[in-house]
Amino acid sequence: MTKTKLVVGIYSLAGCEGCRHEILNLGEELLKLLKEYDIEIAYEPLLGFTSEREEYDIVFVEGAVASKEDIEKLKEIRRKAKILIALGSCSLLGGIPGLMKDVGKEGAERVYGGKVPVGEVVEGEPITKYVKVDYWLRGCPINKWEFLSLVKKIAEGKWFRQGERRFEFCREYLVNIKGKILYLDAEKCIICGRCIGVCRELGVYAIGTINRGINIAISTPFQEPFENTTCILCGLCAAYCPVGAINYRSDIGNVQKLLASETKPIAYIEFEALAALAEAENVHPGKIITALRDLGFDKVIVWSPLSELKLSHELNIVPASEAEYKYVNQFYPELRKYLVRPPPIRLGYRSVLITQCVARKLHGEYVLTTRELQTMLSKLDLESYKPSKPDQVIAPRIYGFVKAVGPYEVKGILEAVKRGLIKAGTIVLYICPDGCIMGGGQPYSKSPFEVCVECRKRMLETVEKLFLETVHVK
Amino acid sequence: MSLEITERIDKVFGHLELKISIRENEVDSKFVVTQDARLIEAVIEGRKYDEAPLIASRICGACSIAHFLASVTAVENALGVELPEDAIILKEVMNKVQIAQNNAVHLFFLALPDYYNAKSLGELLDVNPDLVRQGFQLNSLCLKAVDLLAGRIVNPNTYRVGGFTKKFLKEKIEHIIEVLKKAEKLAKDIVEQVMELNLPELSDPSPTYLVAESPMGYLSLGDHIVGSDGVRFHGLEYSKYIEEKAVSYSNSKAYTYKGKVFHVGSRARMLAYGERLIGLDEYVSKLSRLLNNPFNNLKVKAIEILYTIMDSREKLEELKDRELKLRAEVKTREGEGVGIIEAPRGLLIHHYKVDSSGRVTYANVITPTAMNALHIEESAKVLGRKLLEENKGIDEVRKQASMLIRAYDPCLPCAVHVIVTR
Repeated sequence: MTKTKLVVGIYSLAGCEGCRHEILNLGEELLKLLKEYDIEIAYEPLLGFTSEREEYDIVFVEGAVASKEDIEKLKEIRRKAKILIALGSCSLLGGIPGLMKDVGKEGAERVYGGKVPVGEVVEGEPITKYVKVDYWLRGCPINKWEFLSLVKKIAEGKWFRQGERRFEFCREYLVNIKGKILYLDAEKCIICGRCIGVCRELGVYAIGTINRGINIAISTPFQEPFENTTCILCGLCAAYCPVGAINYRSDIGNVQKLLASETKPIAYIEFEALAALAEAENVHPGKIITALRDLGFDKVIVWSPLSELKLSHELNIVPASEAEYKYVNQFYPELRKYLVRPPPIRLGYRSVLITQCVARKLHGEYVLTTRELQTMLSKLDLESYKPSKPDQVIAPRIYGFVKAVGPYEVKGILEAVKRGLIKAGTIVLYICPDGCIMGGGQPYSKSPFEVCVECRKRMLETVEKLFLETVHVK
Repeated sequence: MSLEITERIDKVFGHLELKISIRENEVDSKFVVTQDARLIEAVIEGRKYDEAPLIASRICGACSIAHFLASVTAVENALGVELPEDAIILKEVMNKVQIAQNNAVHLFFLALPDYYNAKSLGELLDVNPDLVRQGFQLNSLCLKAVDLLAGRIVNPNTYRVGGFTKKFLKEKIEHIIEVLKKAEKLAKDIVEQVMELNLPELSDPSPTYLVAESPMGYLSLGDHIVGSDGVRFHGLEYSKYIEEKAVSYSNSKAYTYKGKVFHVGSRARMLAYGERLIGLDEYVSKLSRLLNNPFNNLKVKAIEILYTIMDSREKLEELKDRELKLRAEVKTREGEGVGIIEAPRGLLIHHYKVDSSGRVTYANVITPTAMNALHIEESAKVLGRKLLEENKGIDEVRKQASMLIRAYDPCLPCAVHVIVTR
């Protein structure tokens, strides 16, 4: 790390000086920091540094703007500072001086019996209103260790401005996680936390944040691969990740090799996958089937995994995929006796499964998610194809079952079974919110919402028609 | 000789200018607080009583605990809360420990560099590294103790109106005692060194002082104020004795006691209750002759560090084996209350009126630095005259003037929001 001499100034406006007191309280640590990183505090009157400069590398500003003089002072500070950092609630939000808004001019009358002697009072306002602030330390008062850590980071060049998407500086804290199916590429991560949110919503808690403040990173517990944690491989984190930092194993390469060989593979496509893709691309599902043939698939079969299910108990809990199977096994072990194996996928030789479900990638190397298929089809002009019918439709073979769709329904129904409220029947669990149609491998829609609603209506009708016309029960 | 000096004082909390003008042997000085007004009292008025301490503690970051305790006491008095004995003792300990910490900060970070010809702490480290190390250790130990007692160093969170909201188990109190024992050892060394310092000579411009009454021992909590003339009055009567004067040049106000300029702070405490510092007689007797020199505030502060640490430890040792009762019932009612406390920098008065719905209808805060303002001006005049007689140059005047001010340890965020009594 190249060490450069940093010149620091600490200024204060209207405030209680508590944040500077905290910095003062660092004592020996502060002096150690200055020595180690060759930092010079040029201006901090509290510590006796009074040589003001024309240019600073970092300026910390404590307190809110509460007089006209402050505005001028602040603008001058901004001009001098390469990096301006707001200290604490007052400078960031207005804090206690900000409360002056409520009392107004009467307040000055009340306290001073007239005009405030020194300085023309304005309502206490955050400094962010007048100047651009590069970073802020929150709190009333600030956390002194966070201050120390931030100065260190700046000295090492590993820092970012507030709101900036630069995370390469904290590489040392980021952990790449390689699983068989899901992996985390930490260098792409922007720490938005959406993956954590959805994982928490399912009640799985396989992923969370590690470290604090500027060092924050996203990881599984103990940086274990996803398979070793409570992760159920639903793949929703991958679907929710806006930058592709969490992703699943791609089988596009495998499938393309297969398509290039002499014997053409068979495409098994699930209902939900077909429907979602048609919706996302805003085309007739028949056109996708034509496009699949055009890609080089020999046959296209619309298929449901529930078609191969064997029910054995009086009460059957049927997981729609390996994800729900792992979910029940993990979180409701006492219900294992009712649990049916997830639909076995006995696809023929040289067949490709196109599915909305990331967990089905456990079944082999030729499993495409809808999103992957979308990528493969992106070069084709879907609109120009004529709709065609699939070669075969294999429908589910179980009837009269109860569906539990989404994490809350799944949890509710499993609790009911646990308490003995449900004693017989068949329950199919779909853990993804809104079921398979919102599965982890589903594509992102390009159309606006209103178009999507229309599209879904039309699409459902079409799929139903297709289904009725070519249904073939084994 | 004609001379105008405007000195921006560093190494004090806040923004302060001292103006000294010397015109044909007439010396005048002005204590100008340039800190922005925040109208704290006006902000507190109209809010619920439990918000008052939270805002009051943010008056000043350095002595936030003192403001908090004074504010809480005032509200408790207004609501007629009767605190259990343990809570009062622990409150007292909290105040003492924070006085020790504040005095340590003042000594090492702000005042001592002057006496070793260093401009800042960093320079002092080169001159006398051992002393600075000891100071750092002492400060961090005191901080630890404050942290354990008050929950935070700035803006405490273990106390609400009506008592402590946190349990103080035996282990925790023992932990604090351990910390204080370590601090005591260091403090003894430091006091020895500070007592040997050579301070400038200056005679007191006005021997009048005010101090919060300490019913037992030194620095215990009471609700009366005692003056140097022996007058003892209840806190609520402060406006009869302490008069206000508006000053056009400063955001702080000027106060007089019965028309006389007075001082508050460590020196006043020592003058009033010095004989009660048990076990420290040696230092006290050495100092007692010197107490009319404002510079000696510094030495008193050092002795106070040692005393408060020792006393807090003894108090906590009494408490540790007891089942502590730390909370009292709080009922909203109409009332008026005043909180009198000795803050690190001297007498602090918080005065509130609460209406039947629990809203604060009147708030007044009088801070030590504001009360000291006139006394500082007078001292600066005396200093100016003295240096004029000795024919010292302008640099010497600047240097000694800022040293003098630092000896008072003014705290400007406190001073800035002083109120007109209606």
